Amino acid sequence: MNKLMQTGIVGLGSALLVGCASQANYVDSGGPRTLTTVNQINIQDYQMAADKMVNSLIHTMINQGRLETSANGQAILGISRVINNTSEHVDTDLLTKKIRVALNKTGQVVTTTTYGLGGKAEDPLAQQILRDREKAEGKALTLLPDYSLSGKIIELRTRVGRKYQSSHVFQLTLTSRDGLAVWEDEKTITKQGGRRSLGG
Amino acid sequence: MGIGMAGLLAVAGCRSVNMVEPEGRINAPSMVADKRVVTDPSLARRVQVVSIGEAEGAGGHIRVQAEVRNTTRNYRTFSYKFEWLDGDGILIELPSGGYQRSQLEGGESRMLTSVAPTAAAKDFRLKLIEKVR
Repeated sequence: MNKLMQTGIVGLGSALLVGCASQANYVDSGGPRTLTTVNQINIQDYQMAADKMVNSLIHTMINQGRLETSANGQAILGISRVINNTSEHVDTDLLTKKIRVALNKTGQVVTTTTYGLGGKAEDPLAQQILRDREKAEGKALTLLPDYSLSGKIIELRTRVGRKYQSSHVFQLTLTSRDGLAVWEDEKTITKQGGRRSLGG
Repeated sequence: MGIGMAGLLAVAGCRSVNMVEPEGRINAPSMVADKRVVTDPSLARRVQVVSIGEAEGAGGHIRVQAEVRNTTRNYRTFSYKFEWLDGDGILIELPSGGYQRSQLEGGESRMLTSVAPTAAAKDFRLKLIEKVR
């Protein structure tokens, strides 16, 4: 085989390898193949934390019959402040929305999108519609939340030699309309790895 | 000497868990007769599902608990997921319902638990997979 052919085969092989390596693939967001980095909250971390919180909420409040309902046999949930005490920019909806969806599917909890912190509604149009209806009908229609969900995400970092460790602590509290924390739970997710697993 | 050093390193890496519990279990959940589909026999040997129990709460949501045991003396990582099915056998999908990462020290047993997302959930599946990433 002459040198030109050999060069061509090597070049073609290299191009194929590079092509395969850069090819993008879909992976299941909740599956075991998602990438894990040490110093960031990954999508699976939000899912693990939300799953634990949902299980705990359903068992404590619904399964033990402690949920107090008002509107149509459903409890109204308001979303309060979830403080991000980590070094990265975090959209806390990545945690709270999963919990809201799960609670909604129980059929016993609905979330208000027109009553929020400082009067700011999650859905300003829905809030405007409600206010216009109140004006037209001459009566208050806004339903106040029975419960509010608040929390905090805290980050702890450690390093020993070339080994890095990060712990993210997810804390949530459900407060009743009497101002009492009727449910609380915490989930800590700890990851370790070398420098290459720190993520960018 | 090389063999001796390798043996020492192997022993240093192996730590297993001793466990003490009451002889008779009080208030144990009802055990579930399970059907197992094993496509990874090595995982099934190393991370063994010892038993599965279920209980129904006053609110009508089923709770399940699976006891898994690491039958080796080595630290093992795996992922697991509970899937819930309604009365018609249709999967109930949730954004929080992904694989949970878990770990077991050598010889350690752990309880994996899940609560049905709705009172309509009547059946479940437990999936286990060895660490992929």
